[in-house]
Amino acid sequence: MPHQCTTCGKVFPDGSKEMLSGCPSCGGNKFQFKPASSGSAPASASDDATSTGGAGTRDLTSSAADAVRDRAQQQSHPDTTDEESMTVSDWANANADADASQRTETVDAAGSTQNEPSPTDAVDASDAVDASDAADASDAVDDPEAKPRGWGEWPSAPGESPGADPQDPEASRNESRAQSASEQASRSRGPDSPPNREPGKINARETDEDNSQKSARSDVVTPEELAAADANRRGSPAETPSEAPSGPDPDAAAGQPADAAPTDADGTVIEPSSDDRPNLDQLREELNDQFESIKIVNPGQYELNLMELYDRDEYIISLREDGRYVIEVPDSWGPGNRED
Amino acid sequence: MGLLTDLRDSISRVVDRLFSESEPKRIGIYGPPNAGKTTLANRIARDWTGDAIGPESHIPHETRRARRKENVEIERNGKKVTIDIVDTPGVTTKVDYKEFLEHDMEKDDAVRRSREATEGVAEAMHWLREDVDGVIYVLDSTKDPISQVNTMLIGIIESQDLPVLIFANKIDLEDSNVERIANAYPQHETVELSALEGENMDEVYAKIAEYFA
Repeated sequence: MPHQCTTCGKVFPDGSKEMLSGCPSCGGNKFQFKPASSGSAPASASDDATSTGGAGTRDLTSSAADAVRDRAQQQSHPDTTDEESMTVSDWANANADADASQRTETVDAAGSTQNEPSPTDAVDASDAVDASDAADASDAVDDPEAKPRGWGEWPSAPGESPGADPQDPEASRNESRAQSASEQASRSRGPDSPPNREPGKINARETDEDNSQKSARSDVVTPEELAAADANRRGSPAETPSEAPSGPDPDAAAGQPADAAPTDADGTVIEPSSDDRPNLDQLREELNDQFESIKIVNPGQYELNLMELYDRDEYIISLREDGRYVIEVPDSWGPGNRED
Repeated sequence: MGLLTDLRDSISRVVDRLFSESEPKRIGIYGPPNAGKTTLANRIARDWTGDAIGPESHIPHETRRARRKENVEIERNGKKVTIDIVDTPGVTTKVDYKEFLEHDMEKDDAVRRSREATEGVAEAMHWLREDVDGVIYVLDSTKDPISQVNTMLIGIIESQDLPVLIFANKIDLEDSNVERIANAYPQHETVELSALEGENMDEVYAKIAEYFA
């Protein structure tokens, strides 16, 4: 996890020695771990993914979201199909309006209801309606064969397929919904979509998904994929279609109200909440790795390596349970200060 | 010419003062938590300046920031030394807030005290590296002196070639065992005392004046 100067905001990569002599930009000596979801540094997405290794799905997903968002905004999709690039770029355009706080909020919302293979399928579904053109939408409903792979891979599919849906009236509503979707498919996203969204219509939206969206819901992005995505963003096109939608999903929710739709679609909630505990643990680990002189076993419980504390030029003068810390840099000490 | 001579004399005086033998030595009082470091620092400061250095407590890690008392003049047996006394937080390898809960402390306070104590250890170690000219190492003579912390700290002090006196404190307590300390660190001079009761302080001051002069 990268570090960030709390004074000027300069970001240092994980393990950077540069910051140990104070921030080279502003001289500040207060730093914090830069959360993965804030994603303003171009290289942070892949760095985060590789350095945190076993980080939670949510973190990986949000990192992926950052990586893909950047890429989508640059509109470099040489290998994606028309449908996919349209979906992603539409999503990106819509998402570009969402501010950072919205994004954070909705990542949390998605994380709180996510089923591992389907982090944000309600979002996928609405994206499918909004982003596909009219023909796609109606074809998807008319021709169930359009997505056999998706239903096969989908672990909690029972109530979701129009064909398998036991509630026929709802299925027919779905069809009409799909048709109305096709009418408004020429960019009626955002304000128009939420009023039309009713619980039963979620299924219809899912029928409109394309292959890339199905793939996104059936897989969790891996660090390798993130690295490839990052490389691609920097100019070497090596992405697979599955990468593109897997990332944006949590963020895509930013353009839409974080309502109960994901719960309806998922059925079960795997991760009950997205509070800060996992991140705190992660931060502690990071702190321990960086400053093995002080190991934070638990809040209020520390193990100290006296030799390390003694050997270091800099030392921690302030610890915070939220993972922040203040170091005293060598320049502040020494003979010059002894006279005071 | 007269002006230059005056200037040279003036500079010479300043340089003499900077490097003279009378420059206060910074003496760090080190040791594990609850050994009586602050009680000793207060005893010395009160005896020679009339002021105390910091609050004492039976709860460990009462001292969580290093405290300094400057220009303490100690004179014994015709020898005089001016020292800055630095009372440091107790050094340990583990800090656990649960230890403080036993002293009727709320959990939040205990956790905070624990964090501050940890920062204090870091500060103490930094002072040891950068800012002390000599060490008074205080041990609770009722406890086993051979511990990881004591061995490591005394080893560091030796590696720095810092003059060190070992004070076997709390001799007023029944199960005090000064001999055990003297045997554990035979390479250093051990002085017994009770900082709380003021026992054997004459010898303490004599040793300080002799050792750190």
